[in-house]
Amino acid sequence: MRRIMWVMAIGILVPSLYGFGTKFLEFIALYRGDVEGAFAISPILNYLLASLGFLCLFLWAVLHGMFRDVEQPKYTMLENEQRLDTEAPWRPEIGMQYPAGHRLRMPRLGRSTDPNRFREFYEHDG
Amino acid sequence: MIDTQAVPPDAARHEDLVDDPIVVAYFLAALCFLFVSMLAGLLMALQLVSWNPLQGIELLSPGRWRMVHTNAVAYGFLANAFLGALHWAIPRLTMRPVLDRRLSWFIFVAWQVVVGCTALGIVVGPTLQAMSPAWEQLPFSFGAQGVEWGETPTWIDPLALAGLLLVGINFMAPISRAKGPLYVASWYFMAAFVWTFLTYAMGNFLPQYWLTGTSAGAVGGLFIHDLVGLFVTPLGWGLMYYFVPIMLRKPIWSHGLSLVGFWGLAFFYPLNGIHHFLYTPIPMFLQRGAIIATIAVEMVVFTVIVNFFGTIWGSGRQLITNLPIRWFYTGMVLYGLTCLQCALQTTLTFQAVIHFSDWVVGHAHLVMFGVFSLWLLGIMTYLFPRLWRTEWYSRDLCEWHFWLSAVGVFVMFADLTLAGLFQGYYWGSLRPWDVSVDGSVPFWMVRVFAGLAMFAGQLCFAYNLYRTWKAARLGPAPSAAKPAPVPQAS
Amino acid sequence: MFESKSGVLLVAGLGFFVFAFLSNGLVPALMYRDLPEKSVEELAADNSNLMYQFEDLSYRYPEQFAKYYGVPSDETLAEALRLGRRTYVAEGCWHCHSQFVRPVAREDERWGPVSRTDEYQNVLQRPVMFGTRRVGPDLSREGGRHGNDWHAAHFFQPTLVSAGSPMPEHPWFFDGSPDLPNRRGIAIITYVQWLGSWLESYPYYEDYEPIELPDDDE
Repeated sequence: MRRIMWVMAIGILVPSLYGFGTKFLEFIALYRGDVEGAFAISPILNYLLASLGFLCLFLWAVLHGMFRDVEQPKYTMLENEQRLDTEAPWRPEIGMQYPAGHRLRMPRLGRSTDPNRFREFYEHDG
Repeated sequence: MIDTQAVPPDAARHEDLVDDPIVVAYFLAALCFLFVSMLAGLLMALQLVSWNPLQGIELLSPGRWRMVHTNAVAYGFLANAFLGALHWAIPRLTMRPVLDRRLSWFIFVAWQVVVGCTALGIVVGPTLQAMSPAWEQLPFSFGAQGVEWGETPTWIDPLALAGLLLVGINFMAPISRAKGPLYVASWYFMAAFVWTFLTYAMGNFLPQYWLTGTSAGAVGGLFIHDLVGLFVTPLGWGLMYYFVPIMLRKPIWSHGLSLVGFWGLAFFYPLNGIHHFLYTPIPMFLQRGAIIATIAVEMVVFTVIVNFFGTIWGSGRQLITNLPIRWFYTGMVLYGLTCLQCALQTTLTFQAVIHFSDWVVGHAHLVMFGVFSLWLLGIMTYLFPRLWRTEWYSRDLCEWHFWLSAVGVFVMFADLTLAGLFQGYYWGSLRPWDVSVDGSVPFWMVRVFAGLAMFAGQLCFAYNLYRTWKAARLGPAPSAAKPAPVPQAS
Repeated sequence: MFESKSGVLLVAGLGFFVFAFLSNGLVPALMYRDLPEKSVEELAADNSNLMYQFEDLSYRYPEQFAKYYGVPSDETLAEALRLGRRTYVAEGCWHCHSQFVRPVAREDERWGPVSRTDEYQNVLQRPVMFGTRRVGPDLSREGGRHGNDWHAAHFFQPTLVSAGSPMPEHPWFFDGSPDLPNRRGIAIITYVQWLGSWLESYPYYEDYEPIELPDDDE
């Protein structure tokens, strides 16, 4: 898992850094080129300044004790959900779990609705 | 309204939190508009291959129904389905009900009036206005407004805006009452309520009343893009962050990484709009800035996709056995494809060829249907059995719904992308215009059949839904109602 | 700030949106604030190319023209332009026809001069009709390319004059036959004839070569 993550990270980072690098050099060339060049880089400077301000806010937030436990909400959310579902009037698998290896076939329309027709699926799933 | 003080949040039950009938109502309204939209799209597709059997009828003009097609999808299908899913997700996420259930129903009715009037205005408006010279003298049009994705007639815009404000108020109540650090889904929802309101106001009023020409074009570009990026995308991802972990029964891979995705989207997405109008008289430095921001947003998007694939890592089998999960992850793969395409197609190099061609149409279908509609249909597949307390009538129909939709939209996307390349090169070659039209016809034929496949998929869903509803009316089926021992799916 | 609700609402929701609007939406508006926005009356008043087409309509369809517009004048021309633009939007013409010529892909060789900002600085481009897709040709240099009769037949049934055209028929612009355009029919033809009529190169846009005039100083 970790190794794959590294491969993916490098696979994404290297080409994108290369892309940004060449774009950046292009912009420098443009800037040096003519009078219009200064205009061309103004949005980039604009975005850099805005993200710098954002970064300062972020650092301020970290220093003020936010993000101490950044992963906590994802567990709380899951616990809440599971508790709600255990009290709910349906089975947790409803609408999502089906047996593996089910072959796709033409649906048989108009067949009578047997309320128990899915029971086997659940019992195999355990 | 349920007093939240009376029910301590930790003891809240599903019945206290979620108003099931309104979720059902939103979903059914959404599906009705999906059918309207698909029929309108079919009409336009038939027109392009000269097979339109309803030629020359004013109220069935393909030009007008083309606008109904996009508006019914954006405001009829996506907005309704999102609202339905939010009425389920937000109360359960925050353990608190919405502000007021009566307000929810009022918004529901008002929103159907808004979307219905939009369709009616676009289709009947121009005909009605032409009937009396006095009406033609009026300073506003009964019919469509000239803003792409904002064709909602000008006389409905204020009502729609008021509706969006009420939606925000109704849902912000539970979120603002929730304690502690919020889960990432809530962040997306909160931001989306603000963004949708601002985007709608900006796009529908500024180019109409205050700005002209090129500057109106710049705002129009922001509007088109923000509607996808700041209304549809945050709600879509927010719902994914909610539904994927609860279905896989494990937390999202990294909550920290998801915050990178959120803040990156929030910063870069609004800066993208002008990339819709490259090579226009809009100042070139703004066009370049939009391109840079677009490429930046695609990188942010990949952190989100990595996060979701990190979550399903080790549960890959769920892709086969768990139908909603399969809908979601198919949508995510197509989302990755969309974003890859986005980073390429917004560059000036690609734009020189593909702008104004069917490539763009293919891209739009991939985003709106291939990603967000697949997610919402997956959510419906998951929620209808819960809402009606009975299993789906037919598993096979669910499968057909999935495969026809997914394969149909992929074929349409591939076909139109290729068509766009052909068209771009036909135009650049300076051969007569007819050559490019004749060359497109085979692609348009394929598109008709891809669209019919998607339509057939939705028919399977509708029939399945009808039979499931009939079964549910007989009372909760024993297999769906909760028995004493629950065989836990691992 | 970043974990608090007000932070999300104010920084992400409001702040970033406003930042983007200021840097992308307001900048062009400020840059072009000195370009005057022309009203429809101004557009109609000093455009002899367009007035010629409008009068031509009144000769070709005298009864229809008299019935719906009376006599050709600057006022009736402005009225027709306004209704024409409204019809162009309401019928969704702009979803299959663009109105801008790009400086790439040899578009100036196909259509004529590349579009400029000042061409769009008028009330008939509010909201602007750049367009989104070209199923049919670009229309920003369409004025004067075809005669009014061609347009009437084309709107009535496009395949009459352009075999294999996928454009929908618009018989509701006519009182029953292509030689009887009604109020909307005359308006939409006038609007299409307006497009590009302000250019010096009208109507030979792409083949136009400016004539070397003798120097005024001599």
